[in-house]
Amino acid sequence: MNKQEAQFILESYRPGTEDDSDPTFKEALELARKDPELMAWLKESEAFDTLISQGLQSITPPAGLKETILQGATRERPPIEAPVERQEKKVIWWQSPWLMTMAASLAVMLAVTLTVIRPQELEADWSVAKIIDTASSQTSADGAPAQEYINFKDLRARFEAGDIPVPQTDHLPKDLQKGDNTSYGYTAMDWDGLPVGRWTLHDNRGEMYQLYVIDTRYLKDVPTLSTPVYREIQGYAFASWTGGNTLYILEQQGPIANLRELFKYHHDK
Amino acid sequence: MHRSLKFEDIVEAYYTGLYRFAFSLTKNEHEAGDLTQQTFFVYARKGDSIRDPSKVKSWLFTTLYREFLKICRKTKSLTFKEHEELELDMPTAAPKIASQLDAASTVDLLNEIDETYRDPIILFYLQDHSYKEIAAILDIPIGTVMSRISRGKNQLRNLFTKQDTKVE
Repeated sequence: MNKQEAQFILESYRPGTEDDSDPTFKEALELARKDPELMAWLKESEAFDTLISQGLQSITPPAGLKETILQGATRERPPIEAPVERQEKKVIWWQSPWLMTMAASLAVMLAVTLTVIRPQELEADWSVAKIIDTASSQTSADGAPAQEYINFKDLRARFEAGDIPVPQTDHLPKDLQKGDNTSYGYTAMDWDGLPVGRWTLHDNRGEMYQLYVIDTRYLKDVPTLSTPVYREIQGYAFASWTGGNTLYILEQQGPIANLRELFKYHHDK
Repeated sequence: MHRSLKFEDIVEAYYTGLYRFAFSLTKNEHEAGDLTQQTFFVYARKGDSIRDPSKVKSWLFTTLYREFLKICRKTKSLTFKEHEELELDMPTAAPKIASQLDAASTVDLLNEIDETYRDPIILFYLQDHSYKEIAAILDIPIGTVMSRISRGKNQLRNLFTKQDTKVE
């Protein structure tokens, strides 16, 4: 290793970190110890690195960011003894201020959407089975985010355009209607022109579900599914049903029996 | 989310680092906040599939970076300049340090270097990740990370020296 090569390697070295035990840097550091000029360069380089690192470390998140994240993405489970009636009154999808603003926009734009958008103009050829297959593929094996996610800016635009499929609470099983913590996530997706809303839901026991919501007017030949139809794909169970002009597909990791139980419980109540 | 880790603990441990990374990339408080939130929303949805708890940090930074790239692709056509990575540049001498940099000045300075070098340099200076993890987050080879860090630091030193000269 010559001096130039050692300098190149040492550019990526940060003292006091796990780099100290990384063999990649060992030979270059050894060379620096024997070469005063190289060592002087390394010390000056480290001083400059410290300056930049300190500048970045002084970036502080805005007040309330952590709380907003926690409010938006998760909720504590309601206490078991909490009055059921009180929980049922507070079906709140979001408590984040900007999302509440968007929800208000949605209400205003809904009427516009119903009159302006003509779903049948789209040439989508989606069956329930194809939708379930696509939903299934959303959960990638390595945990990497699916490419269909859109950013907040686009999400806002879609809310403002009223192009967001929103579930009706009374179309859902009772266990998914209760409490403040019914939903803690929303993703707007576009599957080759088919607008799909995916809501992340919790039941009262903390079990998590993904609910895909699709306007049936975009679809061809969708049967009326007054009772759920079940399907299992690679360890994920799906229940499909319709309500009004909406197709719902509920997904949960695990056997179909769990979803059946959810709907059975719903009907028993 | 990963079953052995509490969501609140994950947020507490990583939201500051993620925000710093997001702010360094976007230079915008709102966009950085949105990116950080979006990252945790994705984690809430997908975190279950992370089998090794030690991978959570890298997963979060990778996710934030991908979300950032998606925004970039929608707003402009990124032109990643792929330089010949094998050629070694002689590192420039480090400028004499006489002052401290605040957060805004640091981010401004970092955003003046070529986009190709900026992202690995930011992760390098955040000191949250080894260069191997930086390679995984940016999805580029380890040798490329080292090369980009070296070239990026050269640019940064030159920019800093120019800036200091202007001030004087």
